[in-house]
Amino acid sequence: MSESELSGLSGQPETVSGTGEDAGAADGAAASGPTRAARHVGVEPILSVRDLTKYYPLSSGVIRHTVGHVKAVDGISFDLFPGETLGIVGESGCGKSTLGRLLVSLERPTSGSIVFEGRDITDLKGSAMRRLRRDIQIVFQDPYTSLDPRKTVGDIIGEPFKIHPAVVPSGKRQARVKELLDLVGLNPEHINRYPHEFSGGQRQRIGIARGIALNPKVLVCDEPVSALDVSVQAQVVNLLVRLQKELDLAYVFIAHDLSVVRHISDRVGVMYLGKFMEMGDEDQIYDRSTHPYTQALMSAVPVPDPQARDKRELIVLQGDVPSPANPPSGCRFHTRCWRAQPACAEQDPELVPREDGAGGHDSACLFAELFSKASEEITEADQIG
Amino acid sequence: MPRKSTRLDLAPIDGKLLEVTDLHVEFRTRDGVAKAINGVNFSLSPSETLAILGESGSGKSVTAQAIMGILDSPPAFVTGGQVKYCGVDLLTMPEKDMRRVRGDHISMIFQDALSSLNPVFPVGWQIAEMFRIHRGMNRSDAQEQAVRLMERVRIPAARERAGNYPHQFSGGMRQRIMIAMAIALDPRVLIADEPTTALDVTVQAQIMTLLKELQEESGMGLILITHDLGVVADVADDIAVMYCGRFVEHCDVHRLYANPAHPYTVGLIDSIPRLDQKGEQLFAIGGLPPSLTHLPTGCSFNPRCRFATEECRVAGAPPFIEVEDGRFAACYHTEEVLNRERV
Amino acid sequence: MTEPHDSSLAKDALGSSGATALGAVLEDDLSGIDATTGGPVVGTKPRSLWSDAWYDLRRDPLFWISAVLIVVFILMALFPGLFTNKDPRQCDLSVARHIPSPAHWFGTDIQGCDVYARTIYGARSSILVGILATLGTAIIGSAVGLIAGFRGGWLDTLLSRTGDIFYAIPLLLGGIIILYTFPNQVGTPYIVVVLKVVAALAILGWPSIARLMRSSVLQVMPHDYIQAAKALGAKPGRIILSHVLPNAMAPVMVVSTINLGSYIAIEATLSYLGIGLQEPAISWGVSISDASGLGYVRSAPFMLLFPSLFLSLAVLAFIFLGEASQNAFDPKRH
Repeated sequence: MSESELSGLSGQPETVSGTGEDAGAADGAAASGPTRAARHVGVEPILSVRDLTKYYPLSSGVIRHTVGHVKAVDGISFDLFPGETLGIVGESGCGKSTLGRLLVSLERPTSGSIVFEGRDITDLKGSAMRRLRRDIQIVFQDPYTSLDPRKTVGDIIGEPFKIHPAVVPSGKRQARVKELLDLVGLNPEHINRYPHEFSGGQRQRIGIARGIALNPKVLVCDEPVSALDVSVQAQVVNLLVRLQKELDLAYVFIAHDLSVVRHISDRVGVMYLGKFMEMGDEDQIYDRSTHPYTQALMSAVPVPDPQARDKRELIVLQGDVPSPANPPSGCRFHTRCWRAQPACAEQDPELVPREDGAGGHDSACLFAELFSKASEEITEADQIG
Repeated sequence: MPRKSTRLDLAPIDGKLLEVTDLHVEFRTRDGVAKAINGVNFSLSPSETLAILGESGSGKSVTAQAIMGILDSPPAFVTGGQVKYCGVDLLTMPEKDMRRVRGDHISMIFQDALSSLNPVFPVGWQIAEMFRIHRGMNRSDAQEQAVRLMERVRIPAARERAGNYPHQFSGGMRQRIMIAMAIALDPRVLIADEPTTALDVTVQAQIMTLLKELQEESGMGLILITHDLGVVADVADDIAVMYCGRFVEHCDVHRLYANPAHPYTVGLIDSIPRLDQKGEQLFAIGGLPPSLTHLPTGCSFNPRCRFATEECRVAGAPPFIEVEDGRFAACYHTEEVLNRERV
Repeated sequence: MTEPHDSSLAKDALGSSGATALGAVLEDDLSGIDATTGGPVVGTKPRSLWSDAWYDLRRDPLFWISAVLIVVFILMALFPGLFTNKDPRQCDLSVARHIPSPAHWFGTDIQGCDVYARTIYGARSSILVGILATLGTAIIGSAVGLIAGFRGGWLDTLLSRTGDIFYAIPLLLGGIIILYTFPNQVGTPYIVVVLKVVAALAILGWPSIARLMRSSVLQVMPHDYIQAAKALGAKPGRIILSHVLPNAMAPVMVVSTINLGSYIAIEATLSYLGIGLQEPAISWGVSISDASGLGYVRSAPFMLLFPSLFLSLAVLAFIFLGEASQNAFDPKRH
């Protein structure tokens, strides 16, 4: 998928936003400046993750003895800078949601560290942990299960203030909730409505309002738009972009939709079986990827342009994703990789900068190179599909 | 005891397999009557792929279920129209005959293969059941056919895996098994309702490739129901865009993507994230789809439409008419939409 | 975007067998139905799930039949004087076993007491035992089920196995054993007699409620709103009381209502066996016990008929109410 193919899309951008919903037009009013990643030279990361792992024990038998581990997250390291968006993509089961839950301390890591503003938060307890909760919040994927059906919108968005009474004095909470509703593009008068009276997109706005209620610095968005319809997706993405600018939030944006991730992210990490395969800014990942898994993933994304139909070079991967309980030796991807060589089964490649034709970026492939059809020999036998 | 039944003898008329005319379906719910489908017209020829594109609540799945005669009634009622398969109206067909049409002539696959397969029987047995019931085959012949089908949908080591249960397969493999069951009896029409929505992109690509190959082999007509503009662009010949239970635009895939004739289609295509908009606001259709129990007067899309005029609000629903050769749209302002200014 | 379909729908689509098509058709394609431009459904007031359930209940004739019966029985229990001005304890042996007549609508029993008055006054014990036993089982069972489901681990195992032990004891047999172990003396106050029966039923009845509560807690727990509350730093007590309990209690309420009817029936059974309530307490069970003495069923069937009829009506009323509320709380209807 090349840049020219993507931009060969038919319809031209429309600046006029639709009429109707209050929020649709307001979202993302400002345009972004130059690449935000460039700002981070010399800036301290707000969140530093080092060698993070999460193993879930597998038990069996009558006395429930542990027979192995599902390695959901297996050695993840990255930095997140203030105000930036780190996209995390991967297929289901790659551990991206577990990573998100680790970042907001819904799970305790098996090993590794998460450093927030210079302080290791992995082992925080009690009130220190509760204080931290104000700074790192999460937005969930499913707008239907993420809101308590028995609570009104006011109760849901107001709950953070009940848990952290110091943030807003009790007399001003109602006003603050209305302010938040307005901020996410909902009618403040609907404060007494129940979630089931709202559509999926509106519910996701309510979930976002709850997530930003405590003025967090980091917002983990776990597939925030993948349960929404296309036209509503765009509204919610716009809302997230606008909020980031207004509130100076840093996002960890977890998704499987590569085009949405590309739109919103400054940097992107590609996960496979609990590890990053490749990490870099948007151009590096989307145009100059050197890891075969990233290349296969990119090639599989359907392009919404019928003209591209015959020009696409679809890399069809062999077989299925191996079980995270028993990941392949060496490079995890070697069992499905068409470029695999004997060394791949023995060495676990590190995520280090590798040449991409325009400098280099982090890639975990021993034979990192740009994808070009001519240089590949994808035989019929490789294409089980 | 296996029933031995022969295939109903039906042949396409004028090269058309399926002809849906003025289909109406409503759901009678506690909150009122939801008009789920309000006059849908289309036809399908052999080897044709028609994509029905729409968001949730647009009526795309209900359309498929009405064709299959598997609407849950009540609350759903077909209140008008015809679904002619090879000239025979399926809506008035006795259930006994309809059961011989389903699977044999028209078949369907669903989004969620895991819940569509019976967890307590091996997959090979479930596929073989199709041959035992509809073709009266004996156990071993049917099993043999099932293995052959599993090979046809490219399941590796089919003979060994026929004895496995659905939960032992990955999502993509389960969807292949569903497809195997759907094409077992060589149907002439296959309806795929969001077949890849629950799957990862790499697997999605495999499944769509498989469907296209199977269609080329058998010449069946394929109705692909989806919300994914990317998938549609990849495989469809024709696209019908649905909104609030109506087709708002229907034309070949190239013209539709190049220049949509209906404002809703314009909005859908423009809301795809694009390279040159990176970091900027995405185009979003404002507002939300209306409640099907309280459809707006006039054109259902008028409250969200930037082309809307008084006519759209006052006059009846815009007629679904041919606006160009072979291209249909339901909009009072098609000319304006087609010649709209692009920024 | 779409709900999963169930296998029967798929089977049907493939034409395998079966004429009826089920499936999440409605939820599937009408999920956007609530949405109107700019906000929630036009012109409707905010509705909680409770008011939604009430909306359904109001339209259910089963609910109204059972509600009217229950109101009548509760009035009977609270103010028996509203229904009769006869004293159930004022008996005249000279008019024993008289058939129904204008003076004694339901006839008289072997002691010459008015059966109508005794049936009316009998409601109090039965309803009292039913309500208290239901409250007892619901409170113990819910608490145990909540803790077991929420905490999990060894505590869950301990509580669940303890429940299984009690569950293994047949209700009637257990009741007989407990009440035999703590027999009533002459002069034991009425309320103590009642509470003993209640205690026996609660001790034996809580495990089924605990099981139900535990499984419904386990269904609620994975929901993201629980995770969201955890991520906000909510303490376990808050999560349980504010999110888990309100969302998990509907099945327990339904089953408890149905159980109320069966506790009334079991009270009658225990009383019939002479180990529940006893003379001088008046209850339907005691009356049935008195009336079913040797030969009386044939010679004076009305003595048995009327208390039994009231008993059956009361049991049925609570079962109907449970059924009606089950329908109303059924999430598929919303």
